[in-house]
Amino acid sequence: MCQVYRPLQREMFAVGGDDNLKPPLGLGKETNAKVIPSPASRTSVEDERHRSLCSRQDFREVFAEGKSFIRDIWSRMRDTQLAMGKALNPTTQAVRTYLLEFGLSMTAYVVVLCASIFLFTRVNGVWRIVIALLPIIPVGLVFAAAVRFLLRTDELERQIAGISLALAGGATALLSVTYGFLEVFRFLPPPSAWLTWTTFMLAWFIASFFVRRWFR
Amino acid sequence: MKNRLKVLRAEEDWSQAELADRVGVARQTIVALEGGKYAPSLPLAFRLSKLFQKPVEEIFDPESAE
Repeated sequence: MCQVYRPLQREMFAVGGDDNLKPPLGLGKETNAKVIPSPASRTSVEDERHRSLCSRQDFREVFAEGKSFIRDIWSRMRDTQLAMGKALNPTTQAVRTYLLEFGLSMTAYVVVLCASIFLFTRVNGVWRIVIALLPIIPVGLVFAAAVRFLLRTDELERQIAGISLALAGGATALLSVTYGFLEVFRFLPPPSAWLTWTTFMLAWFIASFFVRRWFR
Repeated sequence: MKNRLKVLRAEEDWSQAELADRVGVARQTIVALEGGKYAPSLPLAFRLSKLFQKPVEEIFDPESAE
């Protein structure tokens, strides 16, 4: 167990001249051996320090062993569940959780949007801005659900999403710059902010389709 | 990256979905791996190695990596 404790154990629990290390009484196999006390060269402060170091190290080792034991049990349980066809693939689980979170967030969005439309004409001043921005909260929840899905899901799915997002971002930037030039030279009116969002989502959808297909 | 996943899977008589469940990925990942279109992450490579009880280099051919 503890390497630091060993020399001390050897001194404290050496048995009748036998140099072999024996377990301390009460901790290992009980023996009738005579215990020789620690030599005077080692002070009690040093002993205490050694004991403290050892107990910490022992605790870490016991903790690590416990962790690996629990992991082993979980792994066995999962294997059994797989054999019985009861376990869910982590990706399937991630999709289910995402659909649940997405559904709840979208429901909240619809409710908040309706409330926002209803209240908008009934308030004045700064409250109008607050009411107009209220639907952002459930939209934020949708975004959080998407991020959590990407973190939980399968590694290939994450890679597909990453590549698709990069392509969509690039395409949106290219289209925005093109539109910007046309706007500068007065060929087109200033766009609505919704246009960028729609372009990005559309580009993401198209990019996902082609990237997914490429990995098949 | 070329690999022997398809052969090893056939030896165990597992479907792609079954193998995917055993290593905790989507079936599409197994399809992409077998098709050599996707190089797995280290954790996944080690999970496959543990599952088939073969070293990683025996499952994946590092020479064929682009």
